[in-house]
Amino acid sequence: MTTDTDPVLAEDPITGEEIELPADVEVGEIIDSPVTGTELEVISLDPVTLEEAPELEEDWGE
Amino acid sequence: MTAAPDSAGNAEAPAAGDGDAADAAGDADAADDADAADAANDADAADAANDADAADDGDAADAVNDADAADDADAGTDVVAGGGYPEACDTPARKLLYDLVSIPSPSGEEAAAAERLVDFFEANGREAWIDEVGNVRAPADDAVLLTSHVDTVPGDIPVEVRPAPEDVDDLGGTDVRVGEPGEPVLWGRGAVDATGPLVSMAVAAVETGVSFVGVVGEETDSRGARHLVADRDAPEAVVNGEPSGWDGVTLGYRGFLSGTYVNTSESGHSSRPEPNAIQHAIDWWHGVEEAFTPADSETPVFEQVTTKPVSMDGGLTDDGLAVEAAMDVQLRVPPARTVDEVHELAEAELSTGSVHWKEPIPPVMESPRTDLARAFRVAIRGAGGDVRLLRKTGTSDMNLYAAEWECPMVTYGPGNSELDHAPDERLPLSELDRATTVLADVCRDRR
Repeated sequence: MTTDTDPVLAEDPITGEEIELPADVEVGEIIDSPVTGTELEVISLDPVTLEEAPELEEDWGE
Repeated sequence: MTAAPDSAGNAEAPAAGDGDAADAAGDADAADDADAADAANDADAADAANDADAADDGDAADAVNDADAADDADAGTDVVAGGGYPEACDTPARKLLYDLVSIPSPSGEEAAAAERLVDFFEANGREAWIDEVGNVRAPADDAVLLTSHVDTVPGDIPVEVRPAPEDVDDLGGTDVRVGEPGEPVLWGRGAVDATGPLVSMAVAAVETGVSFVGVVGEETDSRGARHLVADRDAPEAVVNGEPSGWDGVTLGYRGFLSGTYVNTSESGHSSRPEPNAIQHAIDWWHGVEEAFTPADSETPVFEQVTTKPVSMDGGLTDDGLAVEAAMDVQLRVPPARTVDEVHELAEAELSTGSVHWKEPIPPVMESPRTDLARAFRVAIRGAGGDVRLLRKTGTSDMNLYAAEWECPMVTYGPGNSELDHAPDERLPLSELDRATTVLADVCRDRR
C-alpha cells in the first residue's frame, strides 16, 4: 500500500534510469533530473510520465 | 437575424461564474430565442448560480436571475460595427472581439472601446467601471488578475472575417500564415495586439469570477498600468495579455530606457573643421552603440542591450546664430543588467550635450516553476497543445507589474506576434477560443 508520503518513482526520459520524485509532485511541475540535471516536466501522474521541459524560445515584440 | 438580439446581454448573462453557463449563453438558439428565463434556468447555468464557488460573484449570480438586469443589458450590447455579425462570430467571445476590433481605439482614444467592455461585464452581472485614467476595472476574486490593454497602435484595417487561404500563394501580400486552410480569420487593427488577448481575458474573467482590468496607453506611456500599480494592492497572481499564441507562455521581457539627446553649437561656415551639434549627437550615438556591442556576436538578442535611434532633428536656428541637434533614442535592457547601469554607461559616452531620460522600465524574467506557469502548461497540454515558453525582446506592461507586485505572473494571449502592428493583422477565431479555454482552466486551477 502506498501513502501520501511515499516517494514517486519515474523513468528519466533521457537516461532510462528510475528516479525518485517528491511525494507531493504535481502534474506540470518542473524538476531537475538527479541523473543529468536536465529540467524535466511531469506530464502525468497515472502513470507517472516525464518529458524534457520546454526550453525558452526567443520572440520579438510585446 | 438582427445583431442586437444576437448580442443581447440576457443571452450572455448566464456566463457569470461558470464556463458551462457561458457555453449555454453563447448557443445560437438561446440567443435567437432571446429568452433570458430559459437560459437562466438551464441546468448548467442554475448550477453556476448556486455554486458555492461562485459565492464571490454574488452580484453576478443575482443578475443571472434578474430579468430587469437582463433587459437593461440589452441596451448596451448592440453591435457597434453595424450590419450584424459575420456568421463565424457565433459565441460571446467572438462577438465581443468583432465589436471591439470594429471600434477604433488608438492610444488616447480608448473611451468607446472601454464603454463596450463595461457593457459586457455589466451584461454578465459583473460590476465594472472606467477609472480616472480610462482603465476598465472589474474587480472580483484576486486569486488571479487578468489584465490586457484596450489601446492599439493606429491603422485602419477593414474589419472582416475571411477564410484562411488554401494556398500559401494566396496570402495577399503577407508572409505570415495563420489558421488552417478554410477556417475563419478575423482581420482588423488590434485583432492580435492586443484586443484578442483582451477579449479572451474578459470572457475568462466572467466565466470564472476572477478580477479583470483593461488598461489604456500601453502602446505609448503605459499610463494605465502605471496608474493600476499605484492604485490597487497586488493580486495573488497576474496574467498580462499580449499575443503569445494560444500554446505559448511569455515569461520574460527586456527593460526599456529612452531619452532625448540635445545639444547646441555656435553657427559657423560648414567648411570649418570644428564639429557642430549634429556631429556631436552622431559621435555620442556611435559611442553608445560601441559600448553595448556584445563581445560574442552569437549572443541572443534577448541577452543584449540593443540601441535604436528613433528620430533626429536639427539644423540652423531661426536666428542663424546656432546649430541645434535633438535625437530620440531607445535602449532595451536584458534581465542580466539594470536600467541604472545602462543609463550610466550611456551617459559616460557624452562629451558634450545632455540627455533627458524618461522614466525607465526594468526588465523582467519570471521562473517557469511558479504554480501559475505550471497551471498554464497543464491547461495548454489539456487543450492538446505543445507548450512553448517565450522570452520577448520587447517590453510590456508586465515589466511594470513585476517591478511593483511580488506575485507570480506571466503574459499570455492568442495571436501571432509577427502580426503585431502589421497592416495584415488578423486572428484565427479558433485561436481565440482555445486561448479563452486555457485562461479559464488556469483561473479555475488558481481559485
